[in-house]
Amino acid sequence: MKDKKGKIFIIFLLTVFFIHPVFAQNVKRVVIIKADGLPMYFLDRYVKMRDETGKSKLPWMEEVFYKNGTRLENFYVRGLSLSAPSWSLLDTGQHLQIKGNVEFDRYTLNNYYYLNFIPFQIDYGLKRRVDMPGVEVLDRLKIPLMVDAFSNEERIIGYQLFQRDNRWNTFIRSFANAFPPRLEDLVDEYTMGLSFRDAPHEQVERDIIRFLSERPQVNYFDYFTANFDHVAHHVSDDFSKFKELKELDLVVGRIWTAIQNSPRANETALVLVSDHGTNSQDGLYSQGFNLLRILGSADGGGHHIVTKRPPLANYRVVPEIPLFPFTTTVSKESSYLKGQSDKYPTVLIDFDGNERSSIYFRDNDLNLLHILFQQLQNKKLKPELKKAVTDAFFDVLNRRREEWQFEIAQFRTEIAAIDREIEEKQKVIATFPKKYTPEQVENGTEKANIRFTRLNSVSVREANQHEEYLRVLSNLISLRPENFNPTKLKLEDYIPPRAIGGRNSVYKLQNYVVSLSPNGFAVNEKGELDFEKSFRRINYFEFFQKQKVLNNVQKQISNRPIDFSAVPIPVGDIAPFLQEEFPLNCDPIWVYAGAEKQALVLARKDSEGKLSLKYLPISNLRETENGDFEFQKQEWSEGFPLKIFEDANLSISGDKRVWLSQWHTELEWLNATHKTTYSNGIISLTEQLNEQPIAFFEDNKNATADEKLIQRMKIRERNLVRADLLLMANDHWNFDVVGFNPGGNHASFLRVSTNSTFMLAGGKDTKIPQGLNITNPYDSLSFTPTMLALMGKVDQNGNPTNELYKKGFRKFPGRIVSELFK
Amino acid sequence: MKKAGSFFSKKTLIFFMIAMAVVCLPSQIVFAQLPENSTDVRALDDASNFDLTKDFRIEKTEIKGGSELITVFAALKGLKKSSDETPKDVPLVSILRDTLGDNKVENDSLRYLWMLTYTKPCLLQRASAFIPFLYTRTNNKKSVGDEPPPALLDMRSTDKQMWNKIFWIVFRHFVLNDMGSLARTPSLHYRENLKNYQKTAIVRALALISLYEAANNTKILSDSELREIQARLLVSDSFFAPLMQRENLDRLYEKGVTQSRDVLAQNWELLRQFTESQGLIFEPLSMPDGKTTHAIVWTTQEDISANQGKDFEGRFLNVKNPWKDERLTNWKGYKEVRWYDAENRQVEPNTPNATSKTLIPLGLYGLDFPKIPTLLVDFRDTRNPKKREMSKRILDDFTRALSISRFGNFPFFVGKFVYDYVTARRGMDINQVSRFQSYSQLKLLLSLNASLDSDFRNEISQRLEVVSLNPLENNLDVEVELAQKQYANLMAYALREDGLSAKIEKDRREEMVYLKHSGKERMWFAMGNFLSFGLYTHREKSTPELMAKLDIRRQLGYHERFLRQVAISSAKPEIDSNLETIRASLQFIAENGADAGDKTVKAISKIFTITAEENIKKLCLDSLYKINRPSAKKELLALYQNPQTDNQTRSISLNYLRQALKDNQKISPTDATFIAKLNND
Repeated sequence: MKDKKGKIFIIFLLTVFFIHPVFAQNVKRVVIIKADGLPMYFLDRYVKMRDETGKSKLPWMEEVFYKNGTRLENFYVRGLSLSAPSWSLLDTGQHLQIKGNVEFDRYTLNNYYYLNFIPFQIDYGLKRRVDMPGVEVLDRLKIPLMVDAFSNEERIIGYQLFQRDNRWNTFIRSFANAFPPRLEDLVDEYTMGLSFRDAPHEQVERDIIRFLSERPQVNYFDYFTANFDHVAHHVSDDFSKFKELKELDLVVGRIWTAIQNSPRANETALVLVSDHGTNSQDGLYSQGFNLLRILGSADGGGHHIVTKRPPLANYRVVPEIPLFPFTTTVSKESSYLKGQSDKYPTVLIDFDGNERSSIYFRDNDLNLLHILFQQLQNKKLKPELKKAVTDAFFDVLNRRREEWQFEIAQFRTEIAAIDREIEEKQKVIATFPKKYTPEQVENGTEKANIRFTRLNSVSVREANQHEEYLRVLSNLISLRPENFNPTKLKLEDYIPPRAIGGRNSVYKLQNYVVSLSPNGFAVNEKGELDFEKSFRRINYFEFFQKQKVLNNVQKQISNRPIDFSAVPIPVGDIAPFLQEEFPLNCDPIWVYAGAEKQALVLARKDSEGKLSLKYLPISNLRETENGDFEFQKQEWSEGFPLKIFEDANLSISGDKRVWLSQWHTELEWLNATHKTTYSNGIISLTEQLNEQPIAFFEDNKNATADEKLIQRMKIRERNLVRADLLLMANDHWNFDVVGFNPGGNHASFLRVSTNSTFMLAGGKDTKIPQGLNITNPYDSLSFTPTMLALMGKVDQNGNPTNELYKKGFRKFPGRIVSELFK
Repeated sequence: MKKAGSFFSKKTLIFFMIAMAVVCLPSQIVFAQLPENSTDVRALDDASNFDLTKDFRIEKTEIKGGSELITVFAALKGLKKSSDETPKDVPLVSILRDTLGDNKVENDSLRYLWMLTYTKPCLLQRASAFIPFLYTRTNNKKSVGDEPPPALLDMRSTDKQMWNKIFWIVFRHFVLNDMGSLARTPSLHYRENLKNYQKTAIVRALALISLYEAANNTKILSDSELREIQARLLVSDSFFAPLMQRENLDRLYEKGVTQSRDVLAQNWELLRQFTESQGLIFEPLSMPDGKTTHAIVWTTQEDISANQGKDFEGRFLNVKNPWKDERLTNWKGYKEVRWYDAENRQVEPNTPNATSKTLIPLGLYGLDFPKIPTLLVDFRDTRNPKKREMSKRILDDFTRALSISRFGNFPFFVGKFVYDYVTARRGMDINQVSRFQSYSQLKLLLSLNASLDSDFRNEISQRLEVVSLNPLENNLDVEVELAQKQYANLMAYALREDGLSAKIEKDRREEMVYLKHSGKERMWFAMGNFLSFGLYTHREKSTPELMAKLDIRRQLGYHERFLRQVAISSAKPEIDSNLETIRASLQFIAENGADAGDKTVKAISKIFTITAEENIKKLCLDSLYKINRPSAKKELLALYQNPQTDNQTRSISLNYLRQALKDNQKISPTDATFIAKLNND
């Protein structure tokens, strides 16, 4: 019997081994240095430079990662080279759900400002929340961070964008330690200008160095620094950037030395990772282009525009208070919304990173309805015109009535489900203690309860806000011509205020209504309103592309600030016009760089979820009012978006035109294009602009009816923060309006901005290869599964162990860096 | 308050009116001098007309008694009258390095810096500088005689300057304030002018040294010396600057460079964006090292016709609406024709498909200014920048004249606070810090940059002189002459028996005070110096022993600084530092370091901890023994007591501790007792 059990056990083990071989690496403890905005090519240049003694200019980088570890020469961010999305990919290993540093809910204008740590710190002090906003969003989507693989006692976390928990002791001690104890040093620091910006991070470093020896139970440390990124935004000179690199080099040296002196040195790995690079070039200033100015002008539509922070924030008399959710820039040239900027902003912009902007336009039909409603409230409107306008109002409304009705019904069902969940959670919350024992504080019970309460309160708030939008929308669709008397109605009860409605189609963005025509309404022979003549419309693709500046003072910079714009087109809408490309199951991305230079980036996934892509050069794409698409296919030539064809670094064998005209897997595309000017842009456009699957929801086959509704609602909420249009700046241009970033910027798909750092080294038991330079390209989806695989928590197929599965981890879609395991 | 009120009604108003009248005068003169109807066709400027290695050269002169005078010369291409003319090679900055007559860099000390355009004011300039509310130049200095130029900066780390500042504050509050406004106001006004004149020279010296640094191919001044000079210049205005420890100067320099580049970049971009938004033309002006420090904003004749009557947003530009200015439609001042291609890039004249535009200058801006670009020249209103520059000075001088204290008058306190806050936050170009920095840099740029048309350069120079509020300043052409004469005087002084060598000798004797007297005693010497208006300065008598000590002391300082830097910036010297130089420094301290400081003790202990190199560890122990301080023995004792210390180190530490006790070295009583007990054991 015993033998039989033993055999079964061996067979089981072998089965598990062959199905999910777990790597033989033995990293038990990891210290991750997270350096915001540090490009590998820049670091590599300085590692290879020698000082007068023959040592590397970055001696620790060379010693630790070049001699004793492994570096990935071609590691890229996937999606925008922008901090919040990039770190979300690195920290979770799951597809992109957070698509900007700021996101706005289209129905409530509620903003998600992932970098704003001030409300978080205040709320933490008031015991109202324990995690940064980005972590809360991921928690709601059941996407765990890498740090969640470790228990409360097992981890020491630095101050960062996706910060789980907070450590006020470190924070307080950091300021105490910021003052040098000796008077002469204090006087010198005072003379040079005392600065506390780095104090918390320096304290984290001191804690890590101490705890490496003092707390053997800790298996995960991380340290975050944004100094390089900060300097690179401000100044472009290599002197200043190298100064920051030297500081980082020393951090690496101190932590590495502390690891070597710690009892667990053999099983500890030190990792340096960055989220993106930077387009900062010595001798060049990055030039800003003010989108607020052009979109607020009459030519641009006279929009009232919402941004996360006010323009020229440092030049305002009233200092910026980072607790307000957003700020509105009022257009002086608004036509029909004069004096209504607080209720009816029509454009929202997230320009962070600055080499791109995500632009949200109000649903064009709401603009039409708004203008028509306003005109109908005008008692001087002639009766015959009034009828035409009323008919037009209901034409527009009837076009949308069914869709809106359906959405309201669905959304309300979901809200009902979440209300039931909230009620259940309230009962749990009622059982939480009012005061916590020191043990409960230490083991994280208190924080877990605060987190639980906070997420519930977010659900309550969002449900209420969305319900308010649905209420007004319901009012709108309840209007009927037979009893419609706009003069007795209040406009904001029917046109949702502080909301911009759903996303616009390509047709709407090509024919965006910004005001009544200068000549007023036009009526055709039948007495109907002539929509074409009655409204002023803007084709925003053309509008952005034609922008140019008068002052062209830097030789390397074009006088055209806009590179291209991109929008996803629902696959169902465009598929009939792309039959030869079937099967298509992802939204194609339309990329516009001028009437003649456009592309459709087509994507499809196979049964295992593997992505294939095709780049279709086209021209003159337009969507008709009834939803038909027209465009001309073009031969490959120079000048198409992403400039792949003409790039000397395109790495393909055989006929370039043939290869480029075929479908390829994303890995084939990555291998071919990663060294080109736009690196992995084709993959990143898809990652950024398409809806991405949420692993936990997809895996949750046994979900209850309510759970399914709640999951659907959460996906809906993510879709509500998606912008209409992604606008990319040309090389060395930026869209910052809060201040000026002449040093450099990022967020584009340019290789200078996407090339990131991933290097690691470890003690002898970790088996991390020494002196290895991995030249195969990888992207940020690879980071978390690779790290967890090194620790034996993920198998080579990206499947988490049972322990992690129970914690909410699901199969990782990224490739594990296999060279580390050879 | 009554006293102040009466003063305001009788005297200040008269002063103020006279001053305003004088302020207005020069602009009339300048307008009268401006060339009329000059239109130049402008070819493309080539940035490569700068060749730093040729434009800057350095000369070294040995001075008797063991020092060197190093002078930076610059080719002032901007002052050429015609393109054929050879640019003037003008000495601009001299630096004195005291070498103690040997080749050891460790005992070298940078002493004085002369900005050769900086001179003692003449009598009329001095008298003008005393007149309250006189915000204009009155005269140039005509002759410098045979006197050596005044040193701009004394680069010694000495507390004398700080004590002087403290005594001045005391003097101002307790003596000058009681002497009434008639005495106080001119005195303070004079001091303010003097201080600003000095700052102007410092800014220019800093810019020049920075330019020379970019071209430093001869290495007569080492990189670290250049950094030290620049760091000292950067904080020369700060109260505690003289106390700045030399090991922090490098950090200060790096921080200063980044901050300065940040300011330049922000202002460059701000001005470009606001120029662009108003449909004007932006032209950056660069120093020879490529650093853009100024910019000109132009409009075009074509745009003036096209935009007649349009609105204009003048924020940050601070000039009047060009679209509503009748004078521009019939502009009599300087004009330039330039050619632009389809991408608005400037091209050579008559390039096919290019279009020509006639440019009219509106304003010239300094970019090295906090928060905003500062208007230095308004080509339509010369007084405009001057009025902006005066706005803060007038307010400050009034409050001084009226003895209004912000702490003694609450309404004034609130009003001033709001005014300061609003103007600072909004970045309004009134009530800002003085623009003398940008002003001074522009003068340098004009002299070095040959890309500007000579007529235009002259016009800028003339208008620029009007902006200066300081009667102590001289104009650009005079400064060039002054520099040449002062350099000749300095060289003559350097070669005289009683000249520079004697001064160096005196300085060394003053430096020897540190070898013989405590800090408390030195404070009394400083007070004596101040109260005697500098007539009394305590100095030691130079002896061969003291000279030898001075040599050792300087070398010790050098090695101490180096080891402290290593301790801060090294995680493991084998990896990130130069072991040979560490060994040499430790060896020196082990042999001569009895007077090394506590911070050096800490640094050596840290180096001992982080290195695995046996010989360096041994040298650390040797040094800790040699340093005659209780802290050094405490560190040795700690090493001995640490259970993780290896036996050999413990044994050496114990021997050294015993020997130190025997040698009667400074040891804390507790430690001494403990060591004695170890001896007995």
